[in-house]
Amino acid sequence: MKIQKQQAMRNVLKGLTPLCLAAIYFYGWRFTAVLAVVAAAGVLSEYVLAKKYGLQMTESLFVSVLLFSLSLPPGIPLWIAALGIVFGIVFGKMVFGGFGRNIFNPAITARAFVYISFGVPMTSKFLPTLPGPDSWFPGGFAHWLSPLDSVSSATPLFTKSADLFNLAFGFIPGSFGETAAVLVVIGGLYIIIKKAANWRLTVSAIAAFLIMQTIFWLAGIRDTVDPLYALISGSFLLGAFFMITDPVSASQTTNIGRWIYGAFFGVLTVLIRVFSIWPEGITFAILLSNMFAPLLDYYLKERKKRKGASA
Amino acid sequence: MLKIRSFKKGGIHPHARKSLSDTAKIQNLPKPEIIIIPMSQHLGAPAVVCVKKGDIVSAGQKVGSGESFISADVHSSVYGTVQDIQPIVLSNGIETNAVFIETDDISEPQTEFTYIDKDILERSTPQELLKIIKDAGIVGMGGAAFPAHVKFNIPKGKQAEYLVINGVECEPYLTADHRLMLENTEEILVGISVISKIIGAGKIIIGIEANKMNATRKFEQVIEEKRLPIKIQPLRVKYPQGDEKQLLKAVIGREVPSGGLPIEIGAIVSNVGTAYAIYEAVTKRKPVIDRVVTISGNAIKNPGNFRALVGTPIKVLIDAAGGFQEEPAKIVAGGPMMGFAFFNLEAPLTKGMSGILALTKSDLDFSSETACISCGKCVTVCPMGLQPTRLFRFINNSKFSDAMSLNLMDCKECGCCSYSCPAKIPLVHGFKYGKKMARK
Repeated sequence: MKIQKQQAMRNVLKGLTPLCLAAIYFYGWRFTAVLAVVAAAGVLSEYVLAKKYGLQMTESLFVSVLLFSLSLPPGIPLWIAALGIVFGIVFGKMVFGGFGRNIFNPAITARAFVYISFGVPMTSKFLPTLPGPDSWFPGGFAHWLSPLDSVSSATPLFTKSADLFNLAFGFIPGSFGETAAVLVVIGGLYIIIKKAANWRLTVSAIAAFLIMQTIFWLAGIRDTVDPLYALISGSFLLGAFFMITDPVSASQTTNIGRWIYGAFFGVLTVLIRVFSIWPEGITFAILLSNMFAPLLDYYLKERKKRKGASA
Repeated sequence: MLKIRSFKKGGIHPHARKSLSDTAKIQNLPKPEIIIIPMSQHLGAPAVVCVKKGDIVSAGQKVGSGESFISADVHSSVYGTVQDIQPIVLSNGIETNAVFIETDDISEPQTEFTYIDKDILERSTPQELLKIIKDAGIVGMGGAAFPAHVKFNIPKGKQAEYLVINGVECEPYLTADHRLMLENTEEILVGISVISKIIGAGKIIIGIEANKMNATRKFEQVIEEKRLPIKIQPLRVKYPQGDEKQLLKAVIGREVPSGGLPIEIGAIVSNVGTAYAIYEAVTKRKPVIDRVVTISGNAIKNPGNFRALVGTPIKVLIDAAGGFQEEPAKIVAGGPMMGFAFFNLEAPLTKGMSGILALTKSDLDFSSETACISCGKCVTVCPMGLQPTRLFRFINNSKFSDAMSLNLMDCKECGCCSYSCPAKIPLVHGFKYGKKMARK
């Protein structure tokens, strides 16, 4: 079966490449094994269903594969990773009629599924990064995986222990791809410049996030962390640059819709992070935003003068 | 000179490719052996044939009469014998009756349309001028071919505050209007005065895109010499500025209401080619029997601009431009954005056809259609503020009334959406089909 060529999706893949390299640098070569398993399971599930329904496979599949892999914690058992992408592709995309018709972002659907179903491996076992003050190089390039016997730590969103430098450059425990905020921003700017992502979505998401976080922080509600710290820890930036900009599931038919959609995601992330039992809000924030996108498309039309109205 | 302006919403910047022909002077083409005059060269009802097989007709003689309210007369462009009357398919796919005339060079009178009646404008009333325009079969020469006498007949209760002259020529490749503005500046200005007298316009503005500054200067020079009350508005290059709705937005800053005509905001728009045709009709009593047409594209050996008789087979025109230098992949009547691809080179030149383009394989994008990624580019570029992606989905699922409720009829098929679609979805084709089905 031929795979449909999609230039926009290729640009997203290029934008994600630095993050993949960083994942290996921080956590070792095991990332490639995770990627291979996820890719194989993803391709297989899309192939079977596309064939059954007479659809074409698209290159967007590989974007879903990469995004999902990068969102996993380094110690994730391979079978969970495979199960996740199969769920994401089948129930997040193919049951809606294939690429272009899905309501939810397939990568995030996959992540939400494993996040809820396998809470322990998904949230409690974040491994320390291989490179650090003792040895900066070769880091993970000389290892298979961060040592499992060392003390596993929880995400800094819980412990609030990392300093800003480590957060920005990724020397903190976390998922494969979300740790290096700087690389996320570089890759994100690349896809925005290449017009694979619309800048309005990202800008409004970050702005809304910062405003909301600042309000809670100043009001001192439930030990809210300071806005800058919150912005670059966890996977908010990955979500703002790479996930809500997924054109299919976003509200894209009007600019005002884009602003609202991005802001909705930003605000929801803060609300979920502060008030829910989940430390990381972006998975559910994205799914909820996806749900409202068609509504925004439907109600926001260009206002136009009709014939007969006073000119 | 006024500050340079443009319309704001949507629009695109396709490659202009005008340098292929924008320095080529307009050449007069000799008469072909056979002329084919179609009855439907305009918007509205086709004209009714009023000659019969075997009749001898002279150049400028009426061969089809426009009898409905929106219709236009058609005339023979040569002296000759009516050989046949039969239906043909035009380059835009319309099937219509046509009169085939064999030209006769030997017994042709040589004195046609040489006398110039200089003071007719001063002595005639607006009604008389309108009658001359109607009898000359003048239609919008920019491409839409709307009968001019209908447009200039201002409905009761309305007033034409502005006359906006369209010298934009925003379609890539086309340079016919550009050359006409350079070479027939004074004649166009006379034509504009005629229109202005008919509609009683208060202000006259000519809109010209900034890639034709030499035409702008030429107009300014003549206007100054003759002290005419006409302004030039230079416009930033942007497609589809030559559409009257975008042009009005750019020049006078008013928006034509959805489904309405420019007169509802007090304006009449007319093309420079139409103004020139009106000059010829009024001063020389010459109906529309020829027009300037750009023959261009990379497959054409000597691209250029030609004054050719209406009814000339397109094959003859292409030969006049040196023929093909390589095999064309697509032949288009009109501009590349809104024109029609066709294959029958025997089809004739019509009044509204401003260009014939022969494009090569490398000029075109043959990549196949992929799934919509909802990127929203079509929404951004749509100058009418429509949502092409949603419209197309409705039409694809035969939900024509839903498409109508999203203002499908406001689409004027400018092609900005199809041009910018990364998935190569044939949006405009869908809308043309959707409109046709919705009208049923």
